[in-house]
Amino acid sequence: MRLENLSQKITLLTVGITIAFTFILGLTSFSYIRSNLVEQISNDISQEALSFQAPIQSFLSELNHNIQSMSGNLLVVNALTDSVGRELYIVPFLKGYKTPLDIPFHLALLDFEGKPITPKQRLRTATSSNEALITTTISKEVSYAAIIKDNDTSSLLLAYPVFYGATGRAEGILVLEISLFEILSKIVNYDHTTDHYFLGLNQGSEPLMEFGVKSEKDFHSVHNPLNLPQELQELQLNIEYGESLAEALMPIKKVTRVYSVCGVFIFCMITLISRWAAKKITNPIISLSQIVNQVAKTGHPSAEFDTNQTGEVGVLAKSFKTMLSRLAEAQNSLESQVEERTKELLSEIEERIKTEKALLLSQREWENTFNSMNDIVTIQDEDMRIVKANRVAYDVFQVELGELEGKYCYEVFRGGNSPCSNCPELITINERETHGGTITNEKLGKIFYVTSSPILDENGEFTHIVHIAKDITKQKEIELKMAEAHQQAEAANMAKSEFLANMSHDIRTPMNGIIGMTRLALDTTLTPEQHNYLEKIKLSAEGLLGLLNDILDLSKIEAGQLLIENNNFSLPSLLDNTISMMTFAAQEKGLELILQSDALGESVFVKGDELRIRQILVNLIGNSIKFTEKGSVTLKVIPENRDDNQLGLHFMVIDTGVGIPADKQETIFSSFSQVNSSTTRKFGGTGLGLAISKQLVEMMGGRIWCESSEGRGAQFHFTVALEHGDEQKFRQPSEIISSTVKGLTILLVEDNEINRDIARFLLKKDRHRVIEAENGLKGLEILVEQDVDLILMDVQMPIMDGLTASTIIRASEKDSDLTQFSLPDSLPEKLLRQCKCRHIPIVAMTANAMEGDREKCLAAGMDNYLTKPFKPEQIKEMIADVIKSAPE
Amino acid sequence: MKESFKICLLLSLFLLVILTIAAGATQEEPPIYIGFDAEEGHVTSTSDDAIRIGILTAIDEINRGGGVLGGRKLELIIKDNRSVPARGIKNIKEFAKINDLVAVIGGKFSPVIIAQLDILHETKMILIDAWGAADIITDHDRDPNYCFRVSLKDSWAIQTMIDHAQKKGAKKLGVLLPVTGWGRSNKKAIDNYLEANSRVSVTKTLWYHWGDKSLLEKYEMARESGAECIILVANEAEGSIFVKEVASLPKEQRLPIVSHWGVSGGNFTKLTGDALEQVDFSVVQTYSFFDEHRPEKLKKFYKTAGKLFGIKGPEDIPSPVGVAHAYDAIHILAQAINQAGTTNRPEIQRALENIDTYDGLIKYYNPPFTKENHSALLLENLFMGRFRLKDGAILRIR
Repeated sequence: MRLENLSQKITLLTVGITIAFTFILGLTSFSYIRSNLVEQISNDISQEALSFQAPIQSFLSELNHNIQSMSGNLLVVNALTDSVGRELYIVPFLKGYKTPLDIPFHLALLDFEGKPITPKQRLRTATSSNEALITTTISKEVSYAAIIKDNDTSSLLLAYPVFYGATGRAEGILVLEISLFEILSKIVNYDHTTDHYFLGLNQGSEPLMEFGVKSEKDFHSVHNPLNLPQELQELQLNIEYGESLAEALMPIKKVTRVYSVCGVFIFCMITLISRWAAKKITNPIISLSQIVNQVAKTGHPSAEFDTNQTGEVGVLAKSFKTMLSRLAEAQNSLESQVEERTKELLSEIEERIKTEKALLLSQREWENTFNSMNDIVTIQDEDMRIVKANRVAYDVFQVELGELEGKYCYEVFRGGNSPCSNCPELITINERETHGGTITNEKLGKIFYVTSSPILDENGEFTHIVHIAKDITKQKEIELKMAEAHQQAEAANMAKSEFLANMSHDIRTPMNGIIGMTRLALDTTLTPEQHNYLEKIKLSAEGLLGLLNDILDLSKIEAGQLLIENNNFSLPSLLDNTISMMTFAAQEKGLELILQSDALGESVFVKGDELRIRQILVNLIGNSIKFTEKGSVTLKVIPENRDDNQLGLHFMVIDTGVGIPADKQETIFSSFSQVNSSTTRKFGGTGLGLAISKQLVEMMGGRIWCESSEGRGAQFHFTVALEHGDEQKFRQPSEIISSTVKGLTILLVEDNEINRDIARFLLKKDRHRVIEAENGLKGLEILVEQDVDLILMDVQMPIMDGLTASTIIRASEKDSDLTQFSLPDSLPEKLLRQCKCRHIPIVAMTANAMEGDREKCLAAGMDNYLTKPFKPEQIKEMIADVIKSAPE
Repeated sequence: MKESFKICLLLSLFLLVILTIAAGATQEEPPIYIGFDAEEGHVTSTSDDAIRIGILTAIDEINRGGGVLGGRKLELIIKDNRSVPARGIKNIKEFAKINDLVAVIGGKFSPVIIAQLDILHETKMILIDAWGAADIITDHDRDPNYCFRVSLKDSWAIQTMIDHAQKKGAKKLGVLLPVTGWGRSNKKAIDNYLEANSRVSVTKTLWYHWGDKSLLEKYEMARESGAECIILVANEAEGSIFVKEVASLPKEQRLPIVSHWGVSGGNFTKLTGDALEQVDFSVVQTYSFFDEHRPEKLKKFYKTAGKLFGIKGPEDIPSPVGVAHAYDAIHILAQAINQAGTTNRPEIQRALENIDTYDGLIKYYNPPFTKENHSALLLENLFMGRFRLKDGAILRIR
């Protein structure tokens, strides 16, 4: 049924909600009250059940206790053996027992076969055939309890073994028989006329007896097992107590009835009230809608709104009235507005005609500009189709005028079917931004640099692309050639570095042999003549090594591989050492060597590259000694003021030698240059020293120069910027030398036999035990068998190099996985066992003097690094250093 | 064909005859059984051990002498009654079912034997009592009477004990009795004695139960009643408790104890310990191996008992009366079996009543039993003895 009528809807809704609400409320309270009531009754029932259960339990417990005590009574025990006279006392004794509540019973003493010991004892049930009774009491010697069911009544049979002291065994049975009905009726005292409850005694699930009846409807009961002594527990006795709930639930039924009557009444009342209320609301609305309907049909309200109404309907009526009057006003003003607008339009059309004429003029100018552009300019639409192309485009692509229009950009420029992946136009179309890129037209053999920009209309909307292509074919050719040249230059430089590194290694190895062996030979017994020769060999070799070092230094500097170190050192000791180093050479020529360092003041400890400063000083002083025939060479040091926080030092080497002509003073600092070529022969030297010095000084933030005039001596100046040193961190090198370590076991891993000889000799001088291996793998094999204090490891070796061997040793010390190194079968396991949790110091010995070798060695886990050829002191110092700083 | 069949048949017959003869020669006559209803399960009793030694020694002698009934061996079957009458009755029923079981030897516990009287006569089972002292065991009205006694009677024991108490100068007696058939048997004997002898009186008769843990209260009651001597009827368990309790009293409160022989049915000295020396304790006996008044018989006994049980002298014999009684009883029984010439028990019962004489270990029985008198011993065979603490031997008080 569809309800069109508003008042009917309101009525039905109100009635529906009210009934639903009432129904839910009624149902909830009904079920709440019922469940509460039922719970309360259940509690009552449980309580009631307990009140029956407790006396039954205590009765049976007491009974059990009594029989148990009696079974130990001496009279009972005695009766077992007293075959003649026992009847006199045992029968009265057993009969004299009073059960709790004075309930009738049968109590008998049985022999070990279950037969009554005197004929006067009577039991209702036969005991001698009761196997369970006899087995339990006589054989198992424990109590026995059973329920005996006899027609309509059940009895409890409770038996205890009677122990005979002389044998310590059960020799008889004391048995009690008592009617359960008698017990229960005494305790329960059920009155059929007044009592309405039900009470049942069950054995397990089997009923033994019942008082009262279970009502068919609303019967509620509890089952409680009887809590009995252990001897009776196995009987599984339990009681069921229950009551009918019908009476208890009567109030609820009454309440339900009242609820129903009230419900019907409320239903009728609400129906009437809601109908009246609905009518009251809808009547004014109906009259209002009639008026509005009329207005809609005629355009004019025929009846006046009743604006005197109050409430929402009144407001609605007022609003309608206002709306109708506004509608009339609007109709009037609209007509006048249309007239005005028509006039305006006419003048606008005139204006537009003028503008179009002007536009036509500028179009021509634009065409001229477009065609006179030097690059290929095209206008393309969103699909990259060429809309317009300038004249250059036709010239370049050599096609008839008008043929480019309508073709796709990529057809024209690349001869392709689709735009290339990095097409700048695509990006422009997508991002509305200018983009550029290179395009190659293989057919024309031309390369273009293309720029594409979006053309936007006055609203900022994308319309077209302007595509400008510049012919850069020639530029590209030049670039290509330049890159090739650059590559060649790089390769050449690489080859040079390679050559130098190789040369360094290849020359140093034999040099080490020559110098080392010469030193060893000089320590042997020689004739003065032999000694003189060997001394000269040594000098020459050292000279050669110096030259080699110079070349290496220079190449390092040029390759940018030389790094300036920054260590704490004592400036006075540097100066003293340098002077004492050079004193011998000066004295040989009869020259005086003077040190002037008084101006230094407190700047004693500095931070910088001690080695390189000494190198420069030695170089300059050496030069001065070389070019001075008589007089003196003076080393002077003064502090220099600097703006930054650094410490400036100004070194001067002043000689009284031949001097340097003014025009040469600049060039002497270039490589391979001396004052004149004849100088080389006269004074020796490579001319590299000053070049190196210059580079070093500049690297140390200073400069070097010369002040001289020919024949009046020369003054070499250089400055360096150092940091203020930290005295705490300064270490006296003499300390290390003084504490030479002796008597170590050293593993020497070196492939070159001569070098092995030298090293072994030097080490044995300090009473070290030397074990030798000719490659890394051999070294590892020795390591697993012997305890080694230190390893001297050559870097370049066949089979396994020193870097790999060191990496493996360090890995096994850390108990790492060694499977990545392809080692022979059992070696990894042995290595792990030998090296685990140790740190064997490893010192690299290498002829690779290039910078970066040191880092490689340290990265492989080596502790330090010696460059071949090394001097005896160097190796001593290194061993002492490494052993002292080892974690052990 | 016919010839060979005949030969075969003849051969078979011949073999059959040979085998039958051989079997007859090797197959022994079936044994004749003697039962012993012993209180083996009784923890402290040693009288069952003593009786067993006596029985087995005699059986060995008889069997070595060719057995009975022309070569049938005697064999012993023991059943345990644990001193419980109900078990004793069951044992007799079981003994009665055994073929060729001719008699049962009865043990120490009079209540057991008294309870057995009906079943014994129902099953016509001969019982020879080797220890149980209750008069009624033999002195009842059943005819024929299947119970015989090679032991003492309570009436004799009581007479001997009270005579001994009188010799010690006691005129007022306190009496301790167990609530059993044995206790009542002694009560009757005392009553009979007092009727005949007005010179002594009993100031207090006290009853105790087997299993009582203390008899001190009863002793005090007896002493307070003016008793000068205690007549004790008890077995080793209660007897030893009593001795220890009396020994713990001040010396002047310790009365002399004249005991029935139940105490000798266990290792009494071991149970009492030193306490026995603190008390004047005498016990009635029927035989002492120390007397050696029949040396030849004793020698013969030692020969067999030494071989079977390692018994070399009187010190090695526990509960001596049991050994001697059982030993003589078996010999008398064997003589009766032979005299009856059958294993039929009524026949043997009659034979027992009609043996002329038997020359035994204890005495020369002339005759052992008659139809009227089923007791082989006499009042004059009884004497009082004293325990020797070191080995439990009982020595005659002279």
